[in-house]
Amino acid sequence: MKLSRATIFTCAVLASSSLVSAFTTPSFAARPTSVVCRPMTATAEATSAAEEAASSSEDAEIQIPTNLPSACGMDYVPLATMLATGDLVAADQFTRDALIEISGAKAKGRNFVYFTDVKNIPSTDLATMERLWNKFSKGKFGYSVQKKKWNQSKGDFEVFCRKIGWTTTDGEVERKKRWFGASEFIYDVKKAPEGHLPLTSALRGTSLIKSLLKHPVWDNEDWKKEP
Amino acid sequence: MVHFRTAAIALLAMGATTAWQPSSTSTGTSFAGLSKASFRSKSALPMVVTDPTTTSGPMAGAFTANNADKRRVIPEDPRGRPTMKVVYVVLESQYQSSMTAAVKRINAGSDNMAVECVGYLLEELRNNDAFEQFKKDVNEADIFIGSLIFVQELAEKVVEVVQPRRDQLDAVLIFPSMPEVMRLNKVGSFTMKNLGQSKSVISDFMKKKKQEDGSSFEEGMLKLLRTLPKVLKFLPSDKAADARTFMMSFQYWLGGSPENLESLLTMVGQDYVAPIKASMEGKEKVVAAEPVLLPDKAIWHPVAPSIVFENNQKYFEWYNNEFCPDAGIDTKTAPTIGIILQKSHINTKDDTHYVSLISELESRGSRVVAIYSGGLDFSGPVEEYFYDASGKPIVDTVINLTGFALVGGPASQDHKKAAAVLKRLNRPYMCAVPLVFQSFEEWQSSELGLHPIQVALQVSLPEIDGAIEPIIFAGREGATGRSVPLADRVNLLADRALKWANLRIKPAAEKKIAVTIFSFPPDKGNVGTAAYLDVFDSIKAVLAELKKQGYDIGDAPDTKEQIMEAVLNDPEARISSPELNVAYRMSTDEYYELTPYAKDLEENWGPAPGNLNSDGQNLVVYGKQFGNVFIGVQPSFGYEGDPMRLLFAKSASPHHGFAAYYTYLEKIFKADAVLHFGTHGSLEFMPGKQVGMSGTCYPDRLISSLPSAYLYAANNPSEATIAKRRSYSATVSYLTPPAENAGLYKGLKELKELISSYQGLRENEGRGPAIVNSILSTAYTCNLDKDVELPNLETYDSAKDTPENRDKLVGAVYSQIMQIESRLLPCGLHTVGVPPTAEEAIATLVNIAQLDRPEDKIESLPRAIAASIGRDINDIYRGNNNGVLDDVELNAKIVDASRAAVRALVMQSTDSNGRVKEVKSVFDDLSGFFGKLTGAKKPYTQAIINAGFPQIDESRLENLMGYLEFCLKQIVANNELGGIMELLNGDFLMPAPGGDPIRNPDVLPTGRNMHALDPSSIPTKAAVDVSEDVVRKLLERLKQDNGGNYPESIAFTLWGTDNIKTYGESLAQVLALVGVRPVADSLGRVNKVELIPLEELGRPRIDVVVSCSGVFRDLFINQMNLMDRGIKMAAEADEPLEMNFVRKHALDQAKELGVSLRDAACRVFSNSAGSYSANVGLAIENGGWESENQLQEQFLTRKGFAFNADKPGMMEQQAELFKTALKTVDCTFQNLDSSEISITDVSHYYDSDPTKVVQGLRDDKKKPMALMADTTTANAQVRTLAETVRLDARTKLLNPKFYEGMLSTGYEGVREIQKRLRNTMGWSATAGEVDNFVFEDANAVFIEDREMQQRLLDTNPNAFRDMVTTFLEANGRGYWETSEENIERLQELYAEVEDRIEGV
Repeated sequence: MKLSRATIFTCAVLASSSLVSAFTTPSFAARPTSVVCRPMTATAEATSAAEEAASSSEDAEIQIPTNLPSACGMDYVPLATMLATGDLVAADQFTRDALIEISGAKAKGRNFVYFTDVKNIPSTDLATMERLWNKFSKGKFGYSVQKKKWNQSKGDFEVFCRKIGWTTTDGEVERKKRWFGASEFIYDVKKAPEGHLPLTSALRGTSLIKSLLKHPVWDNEDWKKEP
Repeated sequence: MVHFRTAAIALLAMGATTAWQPSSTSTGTSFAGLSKASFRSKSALPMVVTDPTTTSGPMAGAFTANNADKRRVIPEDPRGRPTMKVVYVVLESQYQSSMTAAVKRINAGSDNMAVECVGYLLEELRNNDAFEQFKKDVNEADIFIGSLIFVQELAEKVVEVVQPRRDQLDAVLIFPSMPEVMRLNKVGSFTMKNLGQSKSVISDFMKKKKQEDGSSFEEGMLKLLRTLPKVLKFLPSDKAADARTFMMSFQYWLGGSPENLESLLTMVGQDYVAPIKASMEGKEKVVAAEPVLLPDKAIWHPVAPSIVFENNQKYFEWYNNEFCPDAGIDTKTAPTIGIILQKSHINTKDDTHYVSLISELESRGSRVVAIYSGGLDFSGPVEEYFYDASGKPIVDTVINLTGFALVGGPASQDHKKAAAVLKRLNRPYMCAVPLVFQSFEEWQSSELGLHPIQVALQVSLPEIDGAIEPIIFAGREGATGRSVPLADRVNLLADRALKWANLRIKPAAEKKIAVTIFSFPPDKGNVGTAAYLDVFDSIKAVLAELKKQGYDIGDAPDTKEQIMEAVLNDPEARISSPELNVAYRMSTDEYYELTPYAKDLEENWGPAPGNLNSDGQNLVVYGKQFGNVFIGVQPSFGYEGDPMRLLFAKSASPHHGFAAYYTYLEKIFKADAVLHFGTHGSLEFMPGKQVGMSGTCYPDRLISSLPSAYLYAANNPSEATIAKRRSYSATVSYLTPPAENAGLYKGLKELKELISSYQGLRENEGRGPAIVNSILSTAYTCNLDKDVELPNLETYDSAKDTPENRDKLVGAVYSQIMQIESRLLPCGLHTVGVPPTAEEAIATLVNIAQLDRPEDKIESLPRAIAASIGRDINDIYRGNNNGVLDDVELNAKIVDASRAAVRALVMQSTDSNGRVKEVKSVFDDLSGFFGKLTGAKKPYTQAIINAGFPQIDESRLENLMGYLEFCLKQIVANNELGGIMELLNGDFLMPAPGGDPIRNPDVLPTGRNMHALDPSSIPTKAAVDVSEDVVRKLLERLKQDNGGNYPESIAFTLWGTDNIKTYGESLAQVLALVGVRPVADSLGRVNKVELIPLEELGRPRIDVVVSCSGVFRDLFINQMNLMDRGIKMAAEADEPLEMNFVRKHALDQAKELGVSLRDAACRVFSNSAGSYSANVGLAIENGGWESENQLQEQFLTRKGFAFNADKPGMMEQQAELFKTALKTVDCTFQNLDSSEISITDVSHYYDSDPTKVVQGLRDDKKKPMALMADTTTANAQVRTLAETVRLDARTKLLNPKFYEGMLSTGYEGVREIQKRLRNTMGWSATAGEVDNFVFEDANAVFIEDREMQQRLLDTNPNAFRDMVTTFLEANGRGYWETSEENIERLQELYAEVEDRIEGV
């Protein structure tokens, strides 16, 4: 079962529009919380990750959740679609971009999230993204998984990076994986270690990811509940 | 033209990224035309902190392996526009991303031109491939841009390539660089061709200006530059227009943003590049925007609503009222960290490494004030922004992230001003280093660590300002040149800065201090070892001071003995039990839990607890806690019990016990600071990089976040520097014990008396010859026949000899015993905070007075005295050395007169206790004034007159005596306890040079943070002159002993401290032998050598094998480079082989080893990076070696790493090359630079002596001659090693003044005596140059004498046992032949001591 990029795009658009209608049509709420996206073409090449994800889907159908609440008007359907279709690269990028939007950093004229912005991120939104990551990685990816790893690392960021596979070695030299250029991160649910994604920028310090993992939304298990 | 000249001077003076405000309109906080977000890349950048372009793996020999091609920008679609080709070379990689962005903007947006652009980082030009590519690119270029080209050899490369192309290039824009590069500048008619032709004019002018008004010269120039372009704007001539273009370009360049660089390129392109000019004919020129610049200096914050704040009131209004509450920072209690930034990173928006540190600090609840300066003088913004309105400092710790010196950056520093500014602020001052010349991975995989040029510029120079903790915090990303933070380093930096701040904030009563003492070499008798320090007495003094300042020292006893007993267990423990007091038992679970790197130690030591510092179940921490003070014993290196480990120590790690000790301090005792007590322990010598630790280097892992103060002997700046750089310690210097003249004793004393009587009776034909006969026999008794050629005792009768010969004989003996008598001898041990007595001060001052100081216009006292009788002191020295009786006598008389004069000076200020409390000037008292009127002499003049020199000219002494008075003040000034407390209280500790107080009295007063010197400043001109003299003497001596032939090769040992103290004399000796001369660049830095032509040299080039100590390698790797290049130059010079032994040997080696001549000419060796010493000393100290062969193998293995200027990033194992080079050595040579660290005082000298190694390697198995240069006195000498060992034994080990002095300090004293004995035996083992009588006499003094034997045994039984063992070992190994009786006594004694120690 193969999906072309065009198909994925179509799915995303479809999913978005149905979400809009979900808010406008009360009866829509009674419908199942996902739509079934049928492939229209199955020809062109796809990324290996997408291929993997797609072929693992036994019934050859990808269900994209549509009940994706946001406290700040953020549209998570693209993320849901990317994850559902196995485009982890795009999903990862979307997640980073989303943090800038929902933390208010953009409103402050910045293109990066400072750790002090994290408290402004609505729990609702983090929970929505987390459920998506969790769902489509079968519990392997997501901030909550990283939080668990962080706790195991006793506050040592280097240990944490090793645990979630953000480091690699060149000969005897350990270093962080490269992201730009040819990314060395593993965009593959099966092959990646637990907690490997999503990738949060530490280019401006580790306090951002630490703050994210300390966000009150992770204080209890409420985020798991589907709305 | 005068404008250009001045502008050029200004550029030079400013050095690096300076900027100024272009006009009043663009001041303020707006960043016109450049919105805050516009230059951020498209989204939150990824976390990746590595360099995506570099090839992986270890560096391929070069320091950096980046490829400029990755930075090449080619217009995708020129759309028929003329293309301008730009090549640029920069030191600072942050310009790359801006240049790339600017070029892309033009290619996308301009209608008139397209740009093809390629950039090089200066350092890349070392690489041959890159250099060839560079040439090619320049040959095709239209525009060349260079900035901050300040590395001489690379500057030459740039000139080599650009100069021939200069006429074809449409424009050459060079921003601050070396003068020869600046001269390439060309913008139309504007040139700087005449710049620096008379380079002395500029440098003289700069020097003069600097003297006149300190570094404000730079500020003045900045002002001029600000106004210059505006003035030029109104000048109509073409020349002025071209000059204006240059000035505008410079402004754009300094602005650094893509917009500014776009304007620069557009402006230059349309005005100077012909095809563009042509295509624009008839079109309107694009009017370049005014340069957009940030204010000159300001406060910056990554998330502030405005980009910068120009005063701190505005900043704190926003920060305290808006930011902090939002970030959860409590402004009332939060510590505040001041940060100093480089403006170019803010201009170019290359700031993520800055943001990273700020966010780590703020997320830890701390406030931050980050400031920058446009110029290179950061002192202005420090003074302006780090104080509140009432003049109180706002900050608790300062971190300088530029890595540069505070005043003057990489160009011309003003360390005095920097230290004064920092002292006024009085806060700990850390200087962290961003990697510039290496990618992150290159640094990470390098054993050397930080690039040597950066070490010189960004570690050595800041240290002179008083900076501490050179932590690497950022790397560079190869493709874009952007800076990226190193997460773990930034976290460490934040933790450490806050711990320093905490020392200021926390009340004294709550602060926990861990005093760490050493046990080195590891043995019970050695607990509390430190060079020349009475450790427990000093601890007592520190405890008292802590108590006085409100620290809780619990029930700490107040006597030295009780403190010692508490740590060493109970009073009987020293004799009956090997156990130290156990402070804490750490279970292995706890150990693994708290020590993150514990698993890594298992490779070497197996699972914890192991058997060191272990009771079998737990890891044991030795020491004793008193209140909030813990006195702990640093565990040993871990070599004892397994000496063979020495051979494989390269990959060693600390043992579990060692790690547990530091884990205990940090996490269980929870120390706020650790005080390392004395010179020196093992922490800083643990495996890791040389400089620029990573998170896997052991010194870094061990010290972790603990602030460390380290008491360090003032005469050892080189090792202190290792402690500072590798274990992040701030040093507090302490005085070495005052040196006195060794004096004479026993037979030597009799000899002197005999000689005195001979002087009165030499004309008496009856008594004279009889006295000479007695002198002769006594001289034999004293074994002086080894040093002086004496006639046969049996057959000689002086009555039959001529009076001249008698004089000659007496003169020779006299000269010899005078050498012994006047040799300096450190007496006893120093106690922290106790200044020397008047008597002790006199001895030091006499020696200070002995040296000429032409740079200060001070003439030596002996010279002034000699002049009063119409003699030149150098003549007298020469006569003295040759045994001319009259000159020996006269020299002795001058020495006495000097002593009398200095005594008279000091006595003025001495109180009834024999101490100098307050120095009373002989110059300002009334009696002096009246004295002048009445014609009375100063006391010191009178003393000289009384000593037999009535013609002494008082006015000639004035300068010197004034200087001596100043030195006396420094000697007795006491800041040692003060210095310790300043660190523990979180103050700024003033920096001071380390070294020999006699050569450089600026070392005094002690109690300051010691630094080495600017490595690029050596060898100095004066050092080169002195070294040429020593080399001449050395070659004379060798020729004389070698049938008139020059030696072909000399093996050298180079020491760090030696070269610091002498400003590179021994390094210069190496160059002199080979016949090359160091050349200083126009900034006075030595980074080039040139061959002295054979005609001028007048002798063959002597080959050398240079063995550098590990410390020398750490401090002076650029100088190793210099030597290697010089030697290779000599090897490659096409000269007759009989006149060039370097070439002769290298050709042979090349053939034998099948390598190139150049590779064969490797002569500069050391340890592998991060490892120190041959460990021969350690082997000898613990006796665990079987044959000398084993020691020699160890030497060859550990010291056989070659430095190669062609592959400067690594130390390459070259054992074969080392061996073949050593094989041809005729002479081994070392320098002795100070009397207080002489050849039997420390193990280092014999540890690296290759004498027997060479003997083993030579085809003829002949032992090479072993020589030592002694430059400890004005009358420099070259002696044989055997002579030196004898001299040392006579003045120390065998001298009652020495051993009684040591014994008066008790416990430590016995150990000191034993150390000398053991080191003496070391010379037997490595050089075979110890006379039998030395051991024989030592045995007589310490063993045969029952009373002495008993005293030693009672005072420190463990050390005494070692003495007995050493004697037995010396005999057993065949170094000492003695009677059966002596051996039996020793064996019995051994059994007896053993029993006592074991408590049987």
